[in-house]
Amino acid sequence: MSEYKALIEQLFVQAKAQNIQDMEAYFSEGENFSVNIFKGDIEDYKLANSIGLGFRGFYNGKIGYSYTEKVSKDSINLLIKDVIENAIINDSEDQDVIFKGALKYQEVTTYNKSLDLVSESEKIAFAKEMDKYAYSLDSRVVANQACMFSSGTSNTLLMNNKGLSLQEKSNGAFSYIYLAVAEGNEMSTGFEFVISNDFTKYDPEKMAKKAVDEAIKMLNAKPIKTGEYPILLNNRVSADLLGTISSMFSARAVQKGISMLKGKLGQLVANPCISIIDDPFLINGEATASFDGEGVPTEYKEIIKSGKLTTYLYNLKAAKKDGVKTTGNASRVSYKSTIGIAPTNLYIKKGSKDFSQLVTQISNGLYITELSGMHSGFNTISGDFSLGAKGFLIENGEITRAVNQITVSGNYFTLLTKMNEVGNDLSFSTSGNIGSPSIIIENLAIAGE
Amino acid sequence: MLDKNTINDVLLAALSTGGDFAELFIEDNFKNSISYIDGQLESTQSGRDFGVGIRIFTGTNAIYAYTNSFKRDDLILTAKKAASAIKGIKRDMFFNLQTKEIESIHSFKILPQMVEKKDKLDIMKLAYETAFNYDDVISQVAIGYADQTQNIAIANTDGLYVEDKRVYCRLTINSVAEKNGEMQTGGKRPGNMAGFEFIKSLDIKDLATKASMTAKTMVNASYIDSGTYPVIIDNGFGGVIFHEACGHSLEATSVAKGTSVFAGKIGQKIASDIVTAIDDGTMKNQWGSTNIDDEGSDNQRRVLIKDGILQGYMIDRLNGIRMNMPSTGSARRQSYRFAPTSRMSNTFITNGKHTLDEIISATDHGLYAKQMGGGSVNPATGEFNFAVLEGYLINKGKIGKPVRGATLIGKGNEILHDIDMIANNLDMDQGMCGSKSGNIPANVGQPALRVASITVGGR
Repeated sequence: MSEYKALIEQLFVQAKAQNIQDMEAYFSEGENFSVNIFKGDIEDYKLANSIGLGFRGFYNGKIGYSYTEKVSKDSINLLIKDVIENAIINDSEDQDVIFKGALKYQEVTTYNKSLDLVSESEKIAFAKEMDKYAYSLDSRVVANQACMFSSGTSNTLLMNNKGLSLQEKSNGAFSYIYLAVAEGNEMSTGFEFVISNDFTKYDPEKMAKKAVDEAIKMLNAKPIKTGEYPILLNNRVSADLLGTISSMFSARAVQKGISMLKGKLGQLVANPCISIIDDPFLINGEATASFDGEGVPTEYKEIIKSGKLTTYLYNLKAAKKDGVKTTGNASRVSYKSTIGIAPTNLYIKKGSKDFSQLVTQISNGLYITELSGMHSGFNTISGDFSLGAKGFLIENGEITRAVNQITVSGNYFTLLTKMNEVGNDLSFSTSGNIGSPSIIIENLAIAGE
Repeated sequence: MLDKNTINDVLLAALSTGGDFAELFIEDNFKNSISYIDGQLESTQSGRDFGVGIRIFTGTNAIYAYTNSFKRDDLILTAKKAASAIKGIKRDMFFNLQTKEIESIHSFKILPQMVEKKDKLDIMKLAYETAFNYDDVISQVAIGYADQTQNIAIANTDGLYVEDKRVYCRLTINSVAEKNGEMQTGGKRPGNMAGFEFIKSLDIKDLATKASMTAKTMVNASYIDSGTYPVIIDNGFGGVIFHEACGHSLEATSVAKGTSVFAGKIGQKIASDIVTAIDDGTMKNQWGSTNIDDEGSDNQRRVLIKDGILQGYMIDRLNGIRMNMPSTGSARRQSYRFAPTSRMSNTFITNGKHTLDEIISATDHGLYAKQMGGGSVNPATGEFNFAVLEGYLINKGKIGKPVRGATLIGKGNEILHDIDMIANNLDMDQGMCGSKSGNIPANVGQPALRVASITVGGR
């Protein structure tokens, strides 16, 4: 890392000589491994080591950005030239701020040394075992579309010429199995995943079984009659919905008039049983961090408290515009990204009832376990959605048969007010940082037969 | 981009443990993007992606590794590390890198790297002003611009060395209309594999007006009633349904595994008689075209379906080995970070004999999907769902009131048989296609066509 710190110092000196004032560098390097098994064989095997440097700075009072993956002295001139050119066309009245640093940052754990000690052959063995076990469970399993394990370690450095220098080392891993089962002409799919930097959390048999069970249960699924149904929304599906529309909390979206939460601060926007939390300190959270993309200390907050909207999410630019303090939600996905706003670990607070109690509470309705078309059938500004759905019919408080080839439609902001009961089974979706318990919704429109 | 001696030695290191074949993909890519919202610049970014991907075959399996380093020692180390996954014995292998000269079928007149950023911004401002001032109901407009100049070199142990340049420019216009606390959107996203001359040739005012027109129409539309309808899907982006629900199943990636519904069906009838479908990577300056694919093979025009009969698949080298079929020049990847695999290029259904008006007049009651949004497909079951961005009811052969919130669902292999009329207004539109080897530019296309019956989700 010291080699790169020296390079950044040199970049700052040269940039200063070309009249760039406040400036900041974001450097990251990482290693990654992934393997995918198909019918016992290694189908894909991938190794990566990557490195990149992002740069931004003020020129004539305006900010410009640039980055490079060719991290060497030869790149300094291009980085500076691009920042100057981008700053020159910047006519925005809203100004970014290069942060001078804070006295105190909460300590968090983002690195688990034991994961880096797991060998590649152990990771491959895990994936092969999961693949093999899935086929052994049921003769109707025809193919694992994907059976993979991936892990990586990264080091990031955020450094500016106002004295800030922050470093973070983190590692992580994820695994998923996605398989198809067939019975005659009927075909269905099942999926299971784990995200954790603790290798002991990866149980090949448990994961394979969950995916196989899910696929088998969905065999011979049929549509239901078009109409309005009380809904039990699966925890991960609810988390996916929340994740898709999470930009509604961004103060920038509010300022630009593209969030339906505009003007709703302090008002009831959800059923009082709903609280939505942004927790950067969540233990083992995928987005756990002590500082945000601008180097500002992160903080815990209840965005929606018992149905009431208490705050938007801010970075320094948006906060300056509204004359408030940033909430430490500046996002910077990589050295290639400009600064945005994003939640950290965002989840709907769990209630007290377990899943089976929720089922018995619905006399006749639909348990939704899968929604598809989230990136196209969901208008993330208006909240309108019309999505393909799968799930199970609930009759007299019991799950009966599988349902597919239906669509479910509504509006997310209306949905928030129709959420009547929250379960205690908080779970995070494939994005890793968005979570929800299973939730009962008064009703939704279903199109089927 | 790297000297041939280095490339040679990296390839040799890659084969040091008994691999059958090794390949390098070297990429040096200059990118610019600008985002303009609310009459102000929101963000700009300029950067350089640089990296080297190393791929090694052993039988029908492959190892892939990449690094951002351009240093000889690092590259050889990366190749050796990748090779260590193969537990074989080095075989004698001789190759002599010969440069393959290609004659570009595409022209890049104005390289975007040479265009002043202000000139790019001026066009965006014109789009913003036009779209925003279209009507009072327009509450927000976001304009995006992106270009990239991708320089690549591919070398492999067959002795191939080839270089190519791909230049892409794209403009996006998104209008938001707001009425009674509700918001609806409309958009246009033209792109080409071409220089900045493409952006200059666009009728910006017309595109911006159309984006806002859609948003205005939809904010005034009522929800469609759920049910099954005959659906007329208009030309251009309507081709996304064929792309998602059928095209992906014709990629060797899924055919070689036997998981595709179309595996083993060459010569069989998979669509109604009036359907002919093409994947053509050789169309001049089109969004999904390239001179060579990302393994260095010449691109081709591929006939997928002719008069309803399946003719062939889209095949890359590795899946070709698995299927015992030659590559069709279909290997693509987002960047050096991805191993290439078979992907679509410019995929479309060819013209039929009707006019759009004839099809509408022949439909008593149905849905006219003027503009489609995106969608998704379950590759194993073929189940798809697509959003209709701009739709109208058809009443007694005439276009009626606009409807919002419509989603089409069905199964890919079934819908192909249900196409009963095709118009003669073939057009293409641009998309970013996401799959195993990353997000790549791909054209979707079709003339207007009618599907006899589709389940439509609404309210």
